[in-house]
Amino acid sequence: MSTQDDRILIHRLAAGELDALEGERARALIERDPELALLLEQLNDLQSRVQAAFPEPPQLGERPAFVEAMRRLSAEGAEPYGSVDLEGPLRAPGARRVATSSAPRSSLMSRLRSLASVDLTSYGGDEPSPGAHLFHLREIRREEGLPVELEFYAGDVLALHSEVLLVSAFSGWYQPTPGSLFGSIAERYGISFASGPPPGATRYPEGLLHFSGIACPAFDSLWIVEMREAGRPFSVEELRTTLRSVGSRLPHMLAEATSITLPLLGTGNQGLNPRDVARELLSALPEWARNQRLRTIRVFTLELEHVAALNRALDDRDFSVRDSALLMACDQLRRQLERRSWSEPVRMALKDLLEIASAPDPSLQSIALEGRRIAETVLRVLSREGDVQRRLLERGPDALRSESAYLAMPHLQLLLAHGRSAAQGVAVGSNDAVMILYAAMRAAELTGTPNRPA
Amino acid sequence: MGDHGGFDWETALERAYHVAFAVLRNAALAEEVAQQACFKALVKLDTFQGRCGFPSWVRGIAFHLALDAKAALDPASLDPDELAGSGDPERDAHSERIASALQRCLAELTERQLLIFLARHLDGMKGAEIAAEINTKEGTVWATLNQAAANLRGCLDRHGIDRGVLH
Repeated sequence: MSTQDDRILIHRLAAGELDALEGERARALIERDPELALLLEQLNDLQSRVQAAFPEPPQLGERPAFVEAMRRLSAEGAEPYGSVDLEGPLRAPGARRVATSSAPRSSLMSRLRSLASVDLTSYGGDEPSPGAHLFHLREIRREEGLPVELEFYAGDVLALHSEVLLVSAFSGWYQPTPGSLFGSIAERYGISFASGPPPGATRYPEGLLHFSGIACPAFDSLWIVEMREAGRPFSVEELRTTLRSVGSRLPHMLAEATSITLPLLGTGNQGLNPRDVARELLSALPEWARNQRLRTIRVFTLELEHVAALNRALDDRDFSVRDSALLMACDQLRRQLERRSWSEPVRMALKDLLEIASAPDPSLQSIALEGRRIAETVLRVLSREGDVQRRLLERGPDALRSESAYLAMPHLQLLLAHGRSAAQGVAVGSNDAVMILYAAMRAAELTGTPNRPA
Repeated sequence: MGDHGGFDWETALERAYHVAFAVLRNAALAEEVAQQACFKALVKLDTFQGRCGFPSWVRGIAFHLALDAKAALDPASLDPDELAGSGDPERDAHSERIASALQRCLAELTERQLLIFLARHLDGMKGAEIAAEINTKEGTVWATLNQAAANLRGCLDRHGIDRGVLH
């Protein structure tokens, strides 16, 4: 009767993993024990049967976009949420009320147009794969016209296409140093400003430059705010003046655009405190929003501590206030459910989310978990619709849905990240809960059945 | 290449596609199932505890999804030209019967047995390599393979594939 050790030896023999001595021992065992000889025969046959049962398939079609989509949705660092202080956030003196809401359709269309030039396969190869994900959505309401969307991203500012990209630099110093934005532009796109501004660059007062005529996939138009000479300190007051200057130049900057993208200016080599910059920026944005062409402002932060700084600055400004913001979000969701037509599973999931969020004392953790379920539902709908990869790669009118799916990724990622955190027992802040509601609406809107008023 | 953010989606997609194609014998359907497996893995990432390689985990998901899809599939809905085959219907039917039985029996293995079995017999990984991937001892890998083989033989008997087929 063979022992388990004997049988394992035969398994290893069939796998060709025995040394000479062990092989000799195995063969001796086989000669003595017909059961082991049969086992060896069966294992060899099993190996060939498995190969036959799992033949090599035809080559998988192009898949960079799908893989990139999965990467973005599962990116590490997907939980860069600074803790939100629920107790005692005070409205800054003179702060304007900024509400949150889902984006209007016309804005979506402009973003779809701007996205059309993005090469979704450009993250392939052996290059480091940059990414960015949305961590906050806000809105600045205007007395006239549509609100301005505020989108806060963590990650690489070059990861998404920008119409107008605004960056900071020391005066006259545009060296592509490693780790800097100029360095990234030079490394990825071969565009260097080491020898100075490009021909045709326009200089405006208060240190604002326009580098025009640059063909770069990451942006349509590049603007620089100069922050003194290298090595000289730059004060918060000067930053305030600079931001005001940008506001006054917006008519020029937005001549052919409706959105502007910027990192937390001055927090790199210029050494400004990220929280100071976040506060100043958030103070300046309502002024910028007076420009009626401006529809979207995207603020990028690369460092996790900067994300936390932005979160705290948002709390300080009371851009969304606890329960009232949640109630507003619930109202918005309720209106969307009444007025829009979604695929049934998505509509049901949104109804459940509304029920949880509008309860008298809502469980924020449940909201986060429900948000993840919505992301799951939306993904299921997407996958049922077929070849996501091909739709992501398509262009032209028929690709509208695929572009929408692509735009939905940051929202889906946000929902998944919050759901995961909540599942692991991480506390969910009220700001986060509000954001989950808007992200869920946006994800559903971008990936559901075509929106049409009911 | 492919190992983005700790999750090697590219390899995961390839492995998922491989097993899905084996079950469905249709490239387009297999690709769709592979993508569904990736989506499913994505939303269940918090349940992935690194007890095996990520692509192997996704492959396991794809395998079960493909079997479900096959069970729900109306064979008449498939374009015969898209189905893989040798051109010899009788031989194809015989091979298909054995392959289907083997796949069904594999689906009855425990998740760990399936993972180790496919790593060994499909990927051709050595015992030590599998042990390293799933963070266990090599002896455990071989013992698991031995148990998996025994389970498979019992299952194939039940499905009317006698031992003679396997030797």
